[in-house]
Amino acid sequence: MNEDTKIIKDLSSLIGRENVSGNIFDRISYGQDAAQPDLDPRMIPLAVAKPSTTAGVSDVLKYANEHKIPVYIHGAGTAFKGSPRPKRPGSILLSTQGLKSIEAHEEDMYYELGAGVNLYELEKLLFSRGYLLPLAIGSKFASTIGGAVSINTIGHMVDICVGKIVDYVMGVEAVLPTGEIIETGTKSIRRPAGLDATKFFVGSEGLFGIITRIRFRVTPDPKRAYVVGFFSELTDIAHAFQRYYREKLPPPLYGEMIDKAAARAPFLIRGMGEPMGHMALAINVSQTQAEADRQAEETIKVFKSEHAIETFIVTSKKEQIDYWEARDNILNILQGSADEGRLVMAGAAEFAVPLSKMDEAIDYLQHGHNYETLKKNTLFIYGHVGTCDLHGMWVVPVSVDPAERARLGKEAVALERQINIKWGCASGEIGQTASRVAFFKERYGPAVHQMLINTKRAIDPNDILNPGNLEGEGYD
Amino acid sequence: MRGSSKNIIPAIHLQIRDNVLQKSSLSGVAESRSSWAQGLDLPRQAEYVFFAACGYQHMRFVEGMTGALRYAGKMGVSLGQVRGITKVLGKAGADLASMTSRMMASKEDPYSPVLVSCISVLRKLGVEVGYLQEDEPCCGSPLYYAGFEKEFSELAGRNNEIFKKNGLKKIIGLVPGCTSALRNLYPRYVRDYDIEVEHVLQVIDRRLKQVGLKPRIQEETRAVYHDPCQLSRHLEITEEPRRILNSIEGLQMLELDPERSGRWSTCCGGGGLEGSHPELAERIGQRRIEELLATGASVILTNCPACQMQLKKAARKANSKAEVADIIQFLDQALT
Amino acid sequence: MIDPELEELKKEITEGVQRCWKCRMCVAMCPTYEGWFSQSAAGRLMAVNLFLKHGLGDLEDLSNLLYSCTTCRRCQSRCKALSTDCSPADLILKARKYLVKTAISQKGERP
Repeated sequence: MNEDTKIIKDLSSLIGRENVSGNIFDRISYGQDAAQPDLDPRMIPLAVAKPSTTAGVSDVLKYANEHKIPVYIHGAGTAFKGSPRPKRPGSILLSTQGLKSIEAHEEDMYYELGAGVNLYELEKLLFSRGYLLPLAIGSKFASTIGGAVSINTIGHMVDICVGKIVDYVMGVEAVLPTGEIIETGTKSIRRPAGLDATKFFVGSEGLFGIITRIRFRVTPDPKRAYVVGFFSELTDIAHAFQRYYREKLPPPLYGEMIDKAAARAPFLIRGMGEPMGHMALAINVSQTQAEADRQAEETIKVFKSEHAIETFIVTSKKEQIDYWEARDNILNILQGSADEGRLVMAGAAEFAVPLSKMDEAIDYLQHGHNYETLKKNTLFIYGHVGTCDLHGMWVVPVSVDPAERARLGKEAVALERQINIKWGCASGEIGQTASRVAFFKERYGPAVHQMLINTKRAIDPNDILNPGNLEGEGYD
Repeated sequence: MRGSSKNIIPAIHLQIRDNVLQKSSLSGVAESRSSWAQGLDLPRQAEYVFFAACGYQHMRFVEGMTGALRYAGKMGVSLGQVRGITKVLGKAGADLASMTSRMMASKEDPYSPVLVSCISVLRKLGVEVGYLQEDEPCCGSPLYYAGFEKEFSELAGRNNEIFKKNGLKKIIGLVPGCTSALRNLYPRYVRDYDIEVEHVLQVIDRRLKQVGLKPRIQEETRAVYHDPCQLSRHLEITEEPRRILNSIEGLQMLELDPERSGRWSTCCGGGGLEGSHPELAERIGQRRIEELLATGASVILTNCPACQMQLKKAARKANSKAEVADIIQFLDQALT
Repeated sequence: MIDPELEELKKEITEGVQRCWKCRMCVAMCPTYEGWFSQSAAGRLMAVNLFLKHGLGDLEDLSNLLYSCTTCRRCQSRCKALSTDCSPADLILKARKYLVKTAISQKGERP
């Protein structure tokens, strides 16, 4: 057993020995993320700190400033775009998982949550109280509310139905990079107009401060009606949602889509037979079941007028779960294949487009572009068509030459960038730092990026928090 | 820095390996593994052969053994060094396992009666089984899980010879871990392994429907079922125990969070960990008992000697009056 | 002296571990999880990878981590249901096999 290093001793005296780990096997778990299959040993953090109080977070940051030690912040570190991983050596990994307090203030329509509260636990709690958690993120079993708020992502849900997380955050308690503990926002459901420092933290990807507590507005859990539709063309589904909104129908909570080839494996695993075509899944919501059902009937009419092969309302609970999971568990595609033929994900693209361009975007994704490696390989298309957000996933057998696989990955990122820029958008789910900085700079130009760099420098003069993420370090 | 090789395999796994290979049982205690079957008139050969295994008969010795190791640990002797003590004692003619068994022998055996109940239930359902008595070997699965693959493979081969010699074609297993070893692991390691293996709950589930018996208990009871890991995930048997329990009149089965039951059932911390990491195993047991007790059940039903041991201990520590019982014993009483 | 069986096993394990993509769905499933990621299937796999592929970390610590798994397979079920089906429980058992073989070959006799 090695003796504790100085940094471990120092951090222990600040936040308690049981909240610090120097063991390399602990540190490595926080030094790797989903964006890279393997580890860069130079970047393993020196220590993992898990303060259990806001004061502890503040003490760690003050210490880091004093000794010029980079600090990388995790909720659960589940982000796919490369942001959780340390970009510079000699860092402290600060996890907010120790901040787990939950305080109910239902009479004022909010809950106060520690940043480390787990999303799945929160969803269950709110549901038990008759409320909806207005976000649906695939990693919910592992991820935290702090992480979700710092990216301002709602995952699958339709933005124009529930709004983004920022609409639910009445205020935050945060720690500035230099260690000051501050509070923002209000306790009233009438939120401040004009300057509101809350907006410096929601969606700021850990660059301007560490969110420690969130005042989160509650919203009632609505009644739902599930509509499934099968189509022979993907663009029919795009047309369906374009028509849906043209007819000014109330936005559904979810508008999902998965192509027929991608749906086969998940259907098979669940004993649902062969998918009849590309699948669309909409969940209409309202305060009453009658109204939700009425909207579902409208959805069915829309699907039919865009040539749905078959469309129906799903009422059985088990079937609702099956259809939802068949769409949601996209990685089922990679299973069921073995050995040399085992499929692996080689490239992924996620982009949001203007409503009127969704059909064009699908065509472009399939044939319109010039990336030869992408065109040669198997593409699965799926996504949140109801909120104009689409995914492309390219898979190859594991035996494919690694150079080809790497080229495919790069082309996918380039295509994602191209599509977002072509139609004036930015992806809607995963944030804009680390691997996405190159896109951000191209999309918005150097002035905007420099503005953010200057802001970061002003708020974080010693470049302590998540350094390298805004610069896109580690990515060309 | 590489550690010394002495300390890279936990002592308990080394001890169990020696016990299994030399004494053909988990605890290494000399006591007869088949004495529970006295007076039951079980033939050695039959179409179905019941595999009693050594878990139920030896669980109390395992409890004692792990207790002795923890005691040694508290005295400042690390688990890695206890192995050395066993050698030293062995040289002096003393045997750690026998010492602990003598310590425990006076205590009541709460586990073996499950085996008797099992035969009783099968007979009530019209199923006669054989039993290899003293010839029944240890399945060796603790070796596999501890990483002794070669020894496990060799033992499985030897065991298959014993099965062949006794003309065995079908096995009905009770202990989930052993049953899953015989069904899932042996085909991978034994050439020409053609023995059909079922778990007793599958047989009971089938027969209950065929025979049309209506089990019932005297007092209205609220119970919750804890799926053992080996049964729910390794053997994928989750429906049968529930069907059986739902058929018992007077028994109200309570529901756990679906993320914590059936194929997602939370582990009780048994299955080897109680020997190598006793404090951790205890905390895991406590977490599970809290989940089970939160349903408001007065009885916790399960079907595994390790789960029974862990949950009983955890319930005691939580000062709970809830009873931990094996589903087979429960069913036996309900079938009178 | 190079033991070919050991090398083959090492290759199997490090290749298998690459299939884990650290989505962390297994973490909340692990009964041994008490707040640190190393106490999960993904954490154990990352530790094995660090040790076998990069030669970092302490063998005793690794053994403690690998043998503190209860072999309950909740992680394996979860990975199959939601993620890449990288068979984390099986990989942990393979790693234990590796430790046993290492103990034997290092000592030159049965431990």
